Amino acid sequence: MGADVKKNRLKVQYVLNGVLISTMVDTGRRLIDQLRDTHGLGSVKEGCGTGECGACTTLVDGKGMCSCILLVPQINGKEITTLEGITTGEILHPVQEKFIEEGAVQCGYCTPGMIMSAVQLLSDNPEPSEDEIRLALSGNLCRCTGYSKIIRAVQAAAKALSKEGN
Amino acid sequence: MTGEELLVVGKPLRRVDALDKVTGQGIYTGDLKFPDMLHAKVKRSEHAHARILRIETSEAESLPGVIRIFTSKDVPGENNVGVIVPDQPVFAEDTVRHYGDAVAMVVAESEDLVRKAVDLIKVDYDVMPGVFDPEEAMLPNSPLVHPDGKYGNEGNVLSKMGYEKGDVEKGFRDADIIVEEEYRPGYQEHAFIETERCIATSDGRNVTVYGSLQCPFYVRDAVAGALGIPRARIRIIQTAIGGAFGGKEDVPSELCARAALAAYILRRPVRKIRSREDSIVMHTKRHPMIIRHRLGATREGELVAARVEIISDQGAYCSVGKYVQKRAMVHACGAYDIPNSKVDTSFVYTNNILTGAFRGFGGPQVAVASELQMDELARRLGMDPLKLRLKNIVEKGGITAKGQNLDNCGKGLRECIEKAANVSQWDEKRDAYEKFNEKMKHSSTGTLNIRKGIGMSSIMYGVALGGPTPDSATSTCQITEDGSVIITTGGTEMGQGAKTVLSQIAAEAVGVPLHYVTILDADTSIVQNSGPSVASRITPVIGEATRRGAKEAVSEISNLACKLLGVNRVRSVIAPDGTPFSVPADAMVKKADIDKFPDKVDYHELVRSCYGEAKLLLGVGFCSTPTLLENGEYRDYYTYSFACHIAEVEVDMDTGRVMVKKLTCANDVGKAINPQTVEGQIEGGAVQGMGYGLMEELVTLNGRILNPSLVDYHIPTSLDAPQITPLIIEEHDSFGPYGAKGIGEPSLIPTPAAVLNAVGHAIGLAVRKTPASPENVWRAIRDHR
Ligand code: FES
Ligand code: FES
Repeated sequence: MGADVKKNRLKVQYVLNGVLISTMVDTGRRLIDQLRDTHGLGSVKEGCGTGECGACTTLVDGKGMCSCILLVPQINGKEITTLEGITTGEILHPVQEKFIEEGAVQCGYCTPGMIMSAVQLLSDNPEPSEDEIRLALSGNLCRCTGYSKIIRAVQAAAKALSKEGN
Repeated sequence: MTGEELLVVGKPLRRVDALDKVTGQGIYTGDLKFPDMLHAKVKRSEHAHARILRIETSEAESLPGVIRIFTSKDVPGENNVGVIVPDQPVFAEDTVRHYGDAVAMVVAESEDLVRKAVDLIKVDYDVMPGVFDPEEAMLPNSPLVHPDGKYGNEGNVLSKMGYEKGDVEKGFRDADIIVEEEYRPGYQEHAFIETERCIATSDGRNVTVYGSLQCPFYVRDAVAGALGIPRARIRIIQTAIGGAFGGKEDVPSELCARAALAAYILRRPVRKIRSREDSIVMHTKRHPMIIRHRLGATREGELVAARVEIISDQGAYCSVGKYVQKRAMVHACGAYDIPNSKVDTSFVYTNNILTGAFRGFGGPQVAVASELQMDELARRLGMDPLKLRLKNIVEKGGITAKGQNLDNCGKGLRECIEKAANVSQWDEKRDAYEKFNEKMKHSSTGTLNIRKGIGMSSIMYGVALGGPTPDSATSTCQITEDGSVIITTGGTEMGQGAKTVLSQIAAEAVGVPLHYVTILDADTSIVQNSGPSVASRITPVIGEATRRGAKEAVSEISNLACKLLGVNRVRSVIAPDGTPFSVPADAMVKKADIDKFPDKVDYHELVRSCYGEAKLLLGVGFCSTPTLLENGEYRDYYTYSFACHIAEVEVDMDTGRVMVKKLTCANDVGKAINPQTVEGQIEGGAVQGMGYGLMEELVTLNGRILNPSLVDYHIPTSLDAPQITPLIIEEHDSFGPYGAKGIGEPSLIPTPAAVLNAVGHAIGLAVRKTPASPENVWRAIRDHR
């Protein structure tokens, strides 16, 4: 991977929310800690630390992954997007808009991860069926909402995005 | 409030905290950073019941970066916490009573270090026999969990509660048919996505704790007790909460007491975040119950007698067990008019995980028994379960099974049942599924061996704490110079929408748009103790205090408006541009025409004038629930909310796998302050309830939890959750703000039984061992063959 190994430390490069980062990390550094503690990206939530809940979902080259079970060296050369990276200034992403409008947020702890999975789904599949939405979100646990309003929000966002596209 | 058009209440307005949450800007405890912060983790017990001989910490202490290891010896005050009885140690002293007991705690410079150091602590135990079955625990020679009987316990029996109404023996003699069955609803794990956590700071005198907590005042009292310092020197500040459901009610008391102790002694911030495993192994669960239920009826399906015996596993400590017990006792016979009833309950200490608060407080368990009984009775009578229920429900003016006169509520239930039945097309589907199943029985094709079912459950739910427990709330409202409004209460936002609902209530009472209102986070040094955020009491009780405070704060403004307009009463109108005005109360003016209407005063002008005349724009709202009757007796609960949930399922007869296809959920909420958040509560509660009835199973072996992870303990995912149709019924209540009652818990209580009854309809027999997992359903089918 072209990284320099020095005393358990590695040089890594990645693009984070559009910005090129080049830094030294401990080989065992978890991506979630790097994002939260080093980069101050508080949207990335930890619910289990073992890849079970999806609260830490982060896009790695456009694919939703659990950042709690990825090590920073594994993302060398890749592009990372967190919730902070999908808003443009004050303007919310349509998925965020619709989560608010449809009442898809309760405690909000699953919300960032849920939104990232939805964003990935809609970029891969702009007109998903309800079953496809349910499948795409099935790695993100939510204990508050019963998922109904989340699914409705994703459907509404798909519509909004397709209008925007036209 | 009657007849007048509401400005803000009753509208599905956007949640006040939604923007922060969709942008990741909400501040949860884990997002707080303090310089010099230390980390902490406990060493859990390695046995269910043992004497501690020695705790060897030297190896752990020698790790560079480990600051200190705490044990019971370090606790300056009381080494016990407990909302009802102080039976739970902050650190186990000489005995461990379950696997979740904390023996010691490591405080170190990093999370990695605390984990390593905890593993290096060695504890020598003298293992004692434990008791893991509540019925065995009641036998004379069983090992004792709290041998000294200090907590009012007799042997292992923590408490017995019961009642008898009428003449039960005679009732059963008069019955034409008696249904007698045993039900065993199990544990449920809260599985909030954010585990328990807190950060404590101290200068060696005062202590501040930030945390994910439901009841900040419980925590304050526990910290004060453990440190032996006055409550006034302690400040508990609530951050955003990533889910609670009762699991952060009294649980944070021990957690925060330990963190506060370390911060107080070390004078550095100490953070404690439970791992998922620690979370599941250490915190309270829903009470598993053994429920023996005997129900007698006439041939025509009229209920004449009920006899219910409940034995519940309290685990090692009382937690809020006695409150759960009371609720289980009052609701044990369901929402029915039964002239003769007798209920006995025993809550029993064991060496299992302790049980405590979980959304519903015993309600879902007793509903599983009473609602499956109703379906069993219907089956034996050859009657439609819907008709059987409508024939027997308790209604306004009637008497509950427990004996409370329903003089102030009781219309909501019939409405819930009829509406849910209508919307779900109960009659048609009941019929269609039976035909389908009949056909499937005789089809020998290679297709899936599926059966379909539709089932219901209807419940009543006593709102708030219930008499004679004192139940009051306080709130303040301050109207600032620019007209914006600050509200304090001790109620907590845990995701349910409390801040939005309380904002709407305050905005309505003051007569301003929603965004004028700010609700301060609970901080025990600023807000008043409003009682715990439990028992679905935030909207009705804390909401009523908020309404009263806001009314008082705005009273000088209204007086001035009356003077200026020359009338006795005024009301508010909010112009299309959002400006609030006062107009005479009887003025026939719509918001759209307010511009041209002459008889009005701008709210902001009124506020300025009040400040100019040095008037006080501050209100303190206080209320307590009307449980006391004129004759000096207490109502069980001051009012009830009602619900009927209908579930539709498909069962695979070869594997026992159940898919819930649809839930139709009618809930009477008195008045929906915000219909969107009410729907959210109904949908979320129903899916949590579905999880309990269908798939959530905590597996224990001799007190050890064998599946302490979300991979092995399954909560519903988006693939398990069904289509849900929430239906809001509003039977106005005379006490709650704008007629509101609670919704948090009755959203969950009927669902498990509805799912189980649907399974029963599909396969033609009852599944009484919950959850209706493939294994349990398959066994029920096999045993029947
Ligand atoms: S925190 Fe990463 S999956 Fe749960
Ligand atoms: S909103 Fe609380 S976990 Fe999803």
